[in-house]
Amino acid sequence: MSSSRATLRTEVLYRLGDADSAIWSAAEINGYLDEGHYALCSRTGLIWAQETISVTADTATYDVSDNARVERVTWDDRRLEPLWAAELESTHPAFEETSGDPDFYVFDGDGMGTIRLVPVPDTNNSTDLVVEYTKDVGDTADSGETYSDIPAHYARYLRFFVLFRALERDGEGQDLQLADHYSARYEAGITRISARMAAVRATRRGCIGAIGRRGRKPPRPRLPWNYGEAVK
Amino acid sequence: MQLSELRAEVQRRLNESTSSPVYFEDDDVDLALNDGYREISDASEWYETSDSITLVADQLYYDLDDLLGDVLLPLRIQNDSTSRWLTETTWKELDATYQKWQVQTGEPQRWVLRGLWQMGFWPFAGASGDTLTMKYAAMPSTMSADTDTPGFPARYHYTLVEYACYDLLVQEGEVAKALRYWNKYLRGEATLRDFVKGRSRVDRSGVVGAR
Repeated sequence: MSSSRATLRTEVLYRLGDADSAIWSAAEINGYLDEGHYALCSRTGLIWAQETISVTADTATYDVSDNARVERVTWDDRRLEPLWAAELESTHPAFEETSGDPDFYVFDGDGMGTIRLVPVPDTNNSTDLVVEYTKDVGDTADSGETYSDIPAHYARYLRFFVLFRALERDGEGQDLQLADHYSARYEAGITRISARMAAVRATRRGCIGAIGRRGRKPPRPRLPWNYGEAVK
Repeated sequence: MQLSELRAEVQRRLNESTSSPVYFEDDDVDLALNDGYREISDASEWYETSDSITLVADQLYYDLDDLLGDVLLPLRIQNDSTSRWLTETTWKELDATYQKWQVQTGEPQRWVLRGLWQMGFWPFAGASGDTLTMKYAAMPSTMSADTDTPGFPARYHYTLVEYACYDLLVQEGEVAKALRYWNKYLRGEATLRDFVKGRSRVDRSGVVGAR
């Protein structure tokens, strides 16, 4: 699964009628492709990955990947509960010093991409800490010429984004009507991905007694017929 | 309609010679038709197919894109050993029920999708070899031979012609004409999408209390 930036560049220039890059240079197109790549991944969360982090005794903070949107953190295959630092300050003021097997993690206040384990691990460990996340930008290879994580049928949406940007910018070749059209096609692609992810969740079948909340509010209470009436 | 017929129709609409094309050659038209084929397939998810997933011992997650190719949407999954359908779940649901669900082995009963193509099965297989059958929506293969035909019903084939006209006119800078064909294409795409999603509703009768 990968997509070639060169192929996408050729497709874009073919549709712009500029196969020789007389108006839009390859560097410009590459810039738009990279921008679209970031936008596609971060807006949809379609790329999921997990990373095992080596833990050092008495070290509480660990860096996760820069472009990670953390979904779940486990210790020894057991989920760690995420907490705000403010919650721990009031309930466990010594949370940064207490050591033991982690039960919680904090993901605020220690740096953008840094998680803090609570309690602080007291032994070295190379397998127990696993961070699951969606990527804000997929991996690239071949000096950026290959988008390693995006299947070809989703990489098509990058083409629409690039056409939108290329036709929008001031100068020769600008066509705002067509730019708006391709912007709408790109947004339709984003909506399609999001709808697909939501559709999978919607196929869940519920049954009486099943675990898990359906995410709805409880029903409003039925009040007595004379509720609110003045007592005489 | 076969690819050759679709191509001829596109060239006819664009006032192009079908025997000696000048502006829109056969390869250009085929490229546009296939682009339309992929676009309408992505939008409508009409292409439903099935394939086997061979379970690997102690493996929780499977990359559907690596295993099966252009998967758009999983539809349903059956455990071939137990002949039972797997139910979809979420990692939050599993966390709420089992403290260490990621280490439980057994016959898969549920599936969970992470991202758009990483699929996990719970419990995961303790031994290799058993299989699951997954039905899913996918992208079809592109048309290459003159006799290839789109896989959806013939009454929607002209939608590809409209897409190809749009795509080719955009390249010629004929934006107004192109957008007219684009709007026609959108109507055809919506019709096919509605047919795919609602094709079982025609025969279903309503029941009081049913969803």
